[in-house]
Amino acid sequence: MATISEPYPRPGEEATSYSGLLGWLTTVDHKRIGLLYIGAGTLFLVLAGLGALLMRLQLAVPENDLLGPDAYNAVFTSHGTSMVFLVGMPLLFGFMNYFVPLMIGARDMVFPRLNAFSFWIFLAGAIILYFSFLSGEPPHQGWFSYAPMTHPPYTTNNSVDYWITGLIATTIGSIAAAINIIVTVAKLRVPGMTPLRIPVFVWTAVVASFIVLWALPSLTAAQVMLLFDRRLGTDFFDPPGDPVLYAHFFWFFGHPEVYILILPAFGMVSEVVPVFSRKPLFGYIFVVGSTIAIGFYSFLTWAHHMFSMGLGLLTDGFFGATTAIIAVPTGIKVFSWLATMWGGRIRFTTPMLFMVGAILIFVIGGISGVHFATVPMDWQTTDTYYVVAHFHYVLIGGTVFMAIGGFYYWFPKITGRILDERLGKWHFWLSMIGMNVTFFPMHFLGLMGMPRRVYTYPDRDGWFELNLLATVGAFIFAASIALLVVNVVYSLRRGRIAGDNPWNAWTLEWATTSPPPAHNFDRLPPVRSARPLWDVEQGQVPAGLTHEAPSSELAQRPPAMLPPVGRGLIQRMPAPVLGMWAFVSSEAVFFGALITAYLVYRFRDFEPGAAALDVPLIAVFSLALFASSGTIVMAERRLRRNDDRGFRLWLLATIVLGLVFLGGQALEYGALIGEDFTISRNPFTSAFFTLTGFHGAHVVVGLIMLAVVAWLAFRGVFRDGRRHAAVEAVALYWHFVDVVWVVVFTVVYLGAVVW
Amino acid sequence: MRGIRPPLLVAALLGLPALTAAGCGTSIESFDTVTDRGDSIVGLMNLILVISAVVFVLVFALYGYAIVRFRDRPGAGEPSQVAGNRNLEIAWTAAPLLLLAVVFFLFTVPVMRKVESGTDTPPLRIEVVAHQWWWEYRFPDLGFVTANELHVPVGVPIRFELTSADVLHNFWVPQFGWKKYNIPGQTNVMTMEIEEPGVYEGACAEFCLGPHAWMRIYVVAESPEDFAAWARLHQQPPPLPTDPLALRGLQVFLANTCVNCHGVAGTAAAGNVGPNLTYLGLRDILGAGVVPNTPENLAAFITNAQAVKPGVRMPRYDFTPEELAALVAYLEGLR
Repeated sequence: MATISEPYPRPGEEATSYSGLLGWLTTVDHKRIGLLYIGAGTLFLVLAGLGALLMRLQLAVPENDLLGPDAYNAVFTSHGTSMVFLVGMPLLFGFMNYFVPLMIGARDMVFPRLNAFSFWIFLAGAIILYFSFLSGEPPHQGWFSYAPMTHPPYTTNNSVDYWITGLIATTIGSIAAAINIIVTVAKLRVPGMTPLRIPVFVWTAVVASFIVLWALPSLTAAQVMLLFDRRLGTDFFDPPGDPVLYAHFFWFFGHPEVYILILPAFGMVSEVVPVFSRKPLFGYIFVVGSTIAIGFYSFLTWAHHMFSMGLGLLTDGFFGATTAIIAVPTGIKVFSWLATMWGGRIRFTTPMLFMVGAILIFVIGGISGVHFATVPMDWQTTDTYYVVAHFHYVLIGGTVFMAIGGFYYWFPKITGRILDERLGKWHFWLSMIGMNVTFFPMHFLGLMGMPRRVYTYPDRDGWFELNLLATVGAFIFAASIALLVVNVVYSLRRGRIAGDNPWNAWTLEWATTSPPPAHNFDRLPPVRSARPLWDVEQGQVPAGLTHEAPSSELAQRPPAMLPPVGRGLIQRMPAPVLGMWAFVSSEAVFFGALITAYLVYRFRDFEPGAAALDVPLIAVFSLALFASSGTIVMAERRLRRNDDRGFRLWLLATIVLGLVFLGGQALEYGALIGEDFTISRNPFTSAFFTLTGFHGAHVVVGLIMLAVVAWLAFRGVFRDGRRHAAVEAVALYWHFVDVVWVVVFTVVYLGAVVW
Repeated sequence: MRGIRPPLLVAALLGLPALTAAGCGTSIESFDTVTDRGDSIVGLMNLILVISAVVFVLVFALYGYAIVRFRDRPGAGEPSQVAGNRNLEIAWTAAPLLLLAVVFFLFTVPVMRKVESGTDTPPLRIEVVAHQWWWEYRFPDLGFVTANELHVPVGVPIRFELTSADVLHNFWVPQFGWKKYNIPGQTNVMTMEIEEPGVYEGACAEFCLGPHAWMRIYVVAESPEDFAAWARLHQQPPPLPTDPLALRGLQVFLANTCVNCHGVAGTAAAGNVGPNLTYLGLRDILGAGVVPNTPENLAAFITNAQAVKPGVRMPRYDFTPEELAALVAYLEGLR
């Protein structure tokens, strides 16, 4: 197993070698990156919130002309896209970044530099999205940008392209962050923290990260196909292609996305409610189990967004049933929190107030969620203000209020000072009133016939009054957010000094100073339950039995190179390999979407179709790729035996085989294009070239990685058993590329012969 | 602040909009359906709302009780550290599951099947072709086309065949009871029998860019006799105008680019980019519901459509006052 002896700076201290702005720009400290995420999320919250106020002003009176249709459409698109991708996700990733390592007793995330990359590429995507306003071509197609209005001739400017490229960038950041969270929790937990002792927030962070990993690639695939439709003339989503297919891909991402936004917030509630009730979380296993169940079911409910598209009774029935079922694990949590409070000693500090308020608001959103599982009720209420009301109850009542509760709870840990309680209570009541006055009337507006996404409306009975009420509520809500900002500014200077553990909480982040030092912990208590500090407080663990963590010798290593803990399959796997497993599982979903598109159009009998493919030619060249999986195994075997020369030789053989395969693909493409079988010919050819082309691109990436490994091998980097994990990770990627081709070859080429 | 209990506050908030709505004498159209299938959807919705209310009251009452009863009081001892109760946890997993299953299979599925079922007698077919941002209504069996204002007979099974000429749209008349998408290259079907005569307004519910807000639906449901008369009229082209001003208007209409986009039966105008104008004078609305159909509004629309319906595809026209008056006289005379 890989070990490394050269000293390695502690990530936190590396960052602090610069001070001021440069320090923030170059930091790889998970706490600073967490704060960068939270800061960016707050900035975009303010921008998207101002957009919401503009919309509410426009809708305050009927037939208003404050905003024209194009301006309004751009503002609501920006509002929705920002709130999901630039507010909800970064705020939650910020909290995860800051607190997951602290809560599991780790020194940092497992891949600190990848962590910094995640944030900065997210920010680049956000800048692309907002730059669109400066360019005068803001996206105005809504946050799900249904085809074919995104296609020429309906959209001819660059607006959709800003939306696509911006979101692909933020998605890359999200996937990298998710991999980091998963591997960190798998590898860097303090000894003693068995799975059932992991704090619930950490559990929800892990489940949300898996959803990120497996849901977001569907969005990326849809956006890539959309981009090709717009720029390469393919026909994926505009006739003769199928606009409904785009909706499927979008919501296969879009519905799980809701759970990405809600699960970590549930995790925060599950931390705060027990602490302020002075009781352990009621039914830990059911809460964690229901979180995993939600993660699983979130992938089986997407088509409930499309019930009125005419998918047929069977499809509607299936997705109606799965959607109803997902209410059950959500209900489990609501009851568990209630039972946690039951018989407790509840202290209504601001964090607790926000959590209880959030649960109750969320219950309303949850109930109206079941209305959409009731298919005929969905047929009536979908695409109306009833939906707008529903998802704001879920996302504000759930995500926003819960994250604010988490913010009040953890602010002392981050800053060393407690947010002012009096201002906090004003903030709470004002935001509860504002939220309900804004969104409750929208249920009625929807039922009264007001569609969503209208820039204005006719003066029909009651519409004006309810809309005006909602506008008033929005300003009350905005005032409450302003109050939060005031509180932060005030408390940063004058707030009560927090000390290590101001709330008498029980998880490990409270075992260090506030704010924590760059290396997080000098000492950690032993972990004997899910509440280690409770055990210390109650004297259930001997006071002397604290151990230094991580040991000074281990602290010298990059986290990814720490020796394996435990004997399980996952514990034995080096972190880079585990990270690569997570990455290729995400890539598999991307290819799954492309293969789905291929199969859909394969069976719609477009001409030219699969019959035009030269199967024997590709079969021969495929052998080269299949063989290369064998050669890389040989290379690894030689490496383990310290046979450096053999290692390099097999590595080169792998590269040559990969190049041969690419040569075959070039021959095939040349012949096809010569017969006018081009990417823009029909939906089948579009899907064929996109699928095989993306595989080819992955082969190229694999070859570049192999070339880097080969170059390092010639420099002797891997001698004497060093850094084998890197080779293992690259080999895994290469195997993945190969396995994808097994599937593609079967589906596309064997399929062309058999079906 | 301490005096106000959250449940009270929430209850007050919930009541507020309901009172507002009631105070204005507003009908909540989604519950005021006029079709056979819509009525069964309302029945289901009422059941679901009653169950929702019970769940809501139960959860809020339990939370309210816990908030009040278990609030930290001076001198309270350490609570007992109960970490769970397996039977209770199984119960609150199984009970909602059972409830949801019963409701779904006993009540939701039958309504779904009813709404999607066919008819015993051959229905009246109406093709609804959505355009950015107007509605084309084709009567394939009766052989005519109209736009934006739809007449239908009551008490007769109707089959709406929905499709789109461009992007996604969604045909929604709340009082029909449900809605369906208009998808280019595909056809969706809604079958229903309208039970009461009246004017039913609706709207495109799926965002379709630009002035999506002004893609409203206007349906006149009338007795089979009145409908038959309306349909017979539309099966004939409008008579040539006899009034000299209107006749001049027809010449203006045919000599300008109007005909590239609009059609009028019985003339050379056969465009289908904008609404068909045959019998425009009989319609109540202009611009898919943006303004009432009056000569003044029509003149304003022709002169500068962007000022009436921003984002609409129609360019502005600089007709002389004489030409404009003639054109309005012709179009309003199509009745």
